[in-house]
Amino acid sequence: MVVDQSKDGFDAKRKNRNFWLAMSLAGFIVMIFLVTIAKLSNGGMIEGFDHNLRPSILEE
Amino acid sequence: MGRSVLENETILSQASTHDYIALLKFRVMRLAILTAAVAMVIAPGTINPVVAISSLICIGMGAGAAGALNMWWDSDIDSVMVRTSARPIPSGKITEDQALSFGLFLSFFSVIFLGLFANYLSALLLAGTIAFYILIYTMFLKRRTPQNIVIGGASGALPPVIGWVVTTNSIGFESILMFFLIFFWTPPHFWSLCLMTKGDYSKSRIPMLTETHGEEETKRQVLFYSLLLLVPSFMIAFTNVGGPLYLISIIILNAIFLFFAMGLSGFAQLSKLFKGKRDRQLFLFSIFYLFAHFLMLMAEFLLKFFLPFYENFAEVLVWL
Repeated sequence: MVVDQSKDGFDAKRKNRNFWLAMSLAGFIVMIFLVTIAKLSNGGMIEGFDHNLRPSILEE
Repeated sequence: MGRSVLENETILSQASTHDYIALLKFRVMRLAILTAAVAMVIAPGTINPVVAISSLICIGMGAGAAGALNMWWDSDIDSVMVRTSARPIPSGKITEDQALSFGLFLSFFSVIFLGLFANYLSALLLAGTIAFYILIYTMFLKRRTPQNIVIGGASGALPPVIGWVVTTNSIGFESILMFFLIFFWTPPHFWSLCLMTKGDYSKSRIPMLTETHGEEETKRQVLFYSLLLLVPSFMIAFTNVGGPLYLISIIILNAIFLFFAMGLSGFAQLSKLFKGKRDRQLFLFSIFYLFAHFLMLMAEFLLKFFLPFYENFAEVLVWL
């Protein structure tokens, strides 16, 4: 395969890489948000990590 | 900007997004994702769809990371083999250091986030899978023993166990059977590929069974593992995740698989029925064989889920 050594080719590849890196980061943010919502909705262990003593997590 | 700086930057940054994706060994990643997804769904218990999808992304990234690290370590042998010479490192599109950094980043990222999204046991298994594939298979076994892909196949067989653990937080008997299904499937699959690409491994000095023990012995071993494959394949049918549809499907799938394996091994009567290249036929069918197994398990789950009377029917089979 011929490798494009020109500056235009280099810029195009860098732009393409940066675009997909940005998309990956955006996707990661959305994923963290959705998982947080899902875990909060289920009750989960979220309460256990907020350092506040709550009656709902105390064993009777 | 000085000319030398631009030139240096150009040389270091020739990789496109496509080259980074190629580092992930997409075909292997696809298999890991499918088997993990099916195990995750059919495992007893419920899982939030968002958590399931996020966990699958982590498992896929972990499998991809293992592929990238494998290409980093094996770049010297990839460059001399026809089948692998177009990979990103031997073709000069990605440097070894870039592949190493990419693989390590994805490894840590996928393990840490699988632990946070799902549970720590699944993260531990994913870390073990990556470590086994790189440290045991790629760095140690691959260049030392013709049994390399038999033992190394354990890493490729772990994704359904990880998927099962994501849902249940425990390693179930059914997931162990799924592990052995892929474990015994790997040798016939990979050795038929080796038979197809004759001579490629001798150039790279990798002690594949085809090179160390010859083609006839390899074909015998293919048949041996094809017979072993019957055990987990049929045992799954009589567990809670199996059922009549799966049983009927695997009878047909295993019959065809054995037919190809016996034809390859030189059973005179069967050999006459083959017109094309037998190794290629077995290799291509083996891919379909495994995908079909897991798709049938998923179909079995959906039938039980939507048709309650079918579940009773399946329970009778398990009881029998």
